[in-house]
Amino acid sequence: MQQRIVSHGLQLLARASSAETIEYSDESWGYDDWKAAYMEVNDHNRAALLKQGDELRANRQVRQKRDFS
Amino acid sequence: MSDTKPVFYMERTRRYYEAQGFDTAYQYASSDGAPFTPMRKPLAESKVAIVTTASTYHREDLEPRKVDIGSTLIVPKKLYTDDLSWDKNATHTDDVNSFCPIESLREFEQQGVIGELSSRFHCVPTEYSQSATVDQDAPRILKSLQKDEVDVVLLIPL
Repeated sequence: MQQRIVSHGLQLLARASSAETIEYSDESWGYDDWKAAYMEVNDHNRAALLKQGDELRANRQVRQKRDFS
Repeated sequence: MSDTKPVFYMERTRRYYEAQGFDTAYQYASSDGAPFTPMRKPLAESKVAIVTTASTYHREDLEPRKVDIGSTLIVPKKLYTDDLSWDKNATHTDDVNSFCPIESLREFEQQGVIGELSSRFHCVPTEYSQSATVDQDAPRILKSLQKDEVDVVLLIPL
């Protein structure tokens, strides 16, 4: 399947006549349940996400201090 | 076409970062159009290169991210992707060829589908600074690709 997907991409490239040429592949694999859960925000994870955000902001400050010093 | 619906990433990530306490939504880069150049020669005569957002080395959280280069002469046993935002519950990146298809392209080279696989692949850091991407990383990668006389680039982001 990997080869088919890469082949599809290459063939699309070769025949594209404009930017943003979109095609859909018939390939499918796995399941789609992950889509609902991807980056989900709910009452169970809200507090943990806020804590994550605090850590990210703290890291960003360290980076900015380092990068602009 | 399979009956699967796309994820609306921008809206999803906006809500996610809002929940993380970021007040200002990320302003995605946008352009009025995209420059388009049709293929100048057949694919079978073209040299193809890969640009990936994975890395050839482990990147620590606070480590400055930089453009990196790897060799396609041997498929790397591993490329580092843990610092990128892909769904780590739904899948894995153990199979390098699933996101950096060196093997497939090498076979296509042998079959004559493409002219040649470039001996180097390029790693571009995911960077929230659009100016860093536009003014530093992209020109650096372009220079490498031109040096390698690449005709076609596959951008394969994670």
